[in-house]
This record gives sequence, structure tokens and C-alpha cells, in this order.
Amino acid sequence: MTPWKSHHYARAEEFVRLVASALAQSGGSSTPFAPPPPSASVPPFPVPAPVAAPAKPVTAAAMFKSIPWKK
Amino acid sequence: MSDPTQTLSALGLGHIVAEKGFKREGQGAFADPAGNRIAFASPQTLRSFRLVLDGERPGLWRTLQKAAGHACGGKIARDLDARLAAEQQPALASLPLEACLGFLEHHFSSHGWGLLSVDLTHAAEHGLVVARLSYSCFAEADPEGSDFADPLVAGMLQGFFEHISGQSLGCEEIACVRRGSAQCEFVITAPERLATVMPYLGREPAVKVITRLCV
Repeated sequence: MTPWKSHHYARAEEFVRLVASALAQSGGSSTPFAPPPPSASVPPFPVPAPVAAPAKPVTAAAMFKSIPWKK
Repeated sequence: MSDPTQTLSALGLGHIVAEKGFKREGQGAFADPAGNRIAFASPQTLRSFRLVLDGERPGLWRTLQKAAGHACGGKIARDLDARLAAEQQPALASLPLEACLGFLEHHFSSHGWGLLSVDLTHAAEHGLVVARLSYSCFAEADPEGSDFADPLVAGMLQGFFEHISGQSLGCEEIACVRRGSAQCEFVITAPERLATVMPYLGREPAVKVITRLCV
């Protein structure tokens, strides 16, 4: 292991140890958090509504031909 | 409505309205950017024509102006179509509504006829288009006379909108600066509907005439 990597892992291990210690002191559990199993009914993330395509501009001909001139 | 120049620029058509105004063509002639020869008429000349023609037959000036305007409005639209076709662009009627009206408004202002705005508030429900012209050069050039000053404009609007809609339409001025209104107002709709309000033109304010057409 290169000196840089060994330093990195040493710092990471120290960080985990410090967090676990802080959790134990605050009454929490130092065991890793286990996420609940994914539910079939609730999606894990909100599904964004499909984005509507921008409306095509009305052409002059379409507009003026749609006017009920004779009403 | 938004600034027509911005609308046209967004569609890549801004250069057409960005062209310079009238230019000298040599031989004592002026021309517009489309190459049409331009002749200037002083207010006195316009007034003289009106007095002579109406002296010949009352109402003749209005009839001639309206007919000339009608021909001119159609030509404005056809010239714009030709210009767009030369650039492989869609025809005027196939452009977005705002661009089409933007060309018309720009044409009015660039020729010094006044500041035109087209109001489509009553179009979908009542089949009525209202146009308003501020700073009408015709009302300013010939402020006298008992009738409305802009039959040429009414004819132009009729010709232009007939070209775009493909329908036979009519256009009448319903308020005029010459008669004390803040701006000149025009209604465009089917000719037979306009006939029903003719007796009220000049006798009732514009808003009342519009209400009659919206009933």
C-alpha cells in the first residue's frame, strides 16, 4: 500500500471510531444503520410528473380561420 | 402584445424588420426596403385631394381611400410572403400569430402611419378583431372634416386580414382622433355584421359599437 493510501485508510478508520464513540455517548446505537427493506407500494423516491412538451405556437392562419367571423 | 421586433428576432426574422427605412434610388426617387417607389405627400396635398373629390361627389374621397387601402393591404401581405419565400421561410399565415401581427405593426410604424396594435380579446367568442392606431398620420395631416380620417387604414387592415384568413372581411373605423378620441379604432369582422352598426358610427363611442357587435 502506498503511503498516501495507508494514510487515507488510517484516517477513515479513525473517523468511524470517533462517530461510533459519539453515538454510544449520546445513547444511540453504534451498530451500523440498516435501512428498511424497500416497499413495493411506496416508491423510494418521488416520481417526477412527465414533462409536457412545450405547446406549439398558434399560427396566424389557424387563429384567423378559427374565428367565427359570421357568428 | 410583446415587442414585435423581439418576437421576430426570436424566430430568426429580425433582420427583415431591422432593414433601414426609405433610401434614395437616384433619379430623384425614393424606395422602401422592398424596392417599392415611395412618394411623399404634404398635408396640404392630401387635404386638397379630399376637398376636390368630395366636391365632385360627397363621400368619393372615402370610397377611393378605402379601395386603395384594400389593394394596399393585400399587397403588403403578398410582398411579405414573397420576401419570406425568398428566404425559404414559411408564409406569413404559417408563422406564429405574434410574428404575423408583428410584421403588420412594424410595417405601419416604419412607414410613419402610426403605432398599430391588434386586440384579439373578442375574436374567439364574438368573431371580432379590434385594431387601434395611435399617432395616425392621416388624422394629423388632415385634422379637418366631419367624418373619420382613416379610410385608407381601414382598407389596408381589411386587405391584410383577408389575405391571412382567406375570408371575405370588412373593416370600419369606429373612433378617430379627428373626432376627439385618444386613438383611432377599427373593427374587423364579416361585412354583413358591420352593416348592422353602420348607422351608429360617429354617433356612438367605440366601446358601445363594440358591445353591439359582441351581443
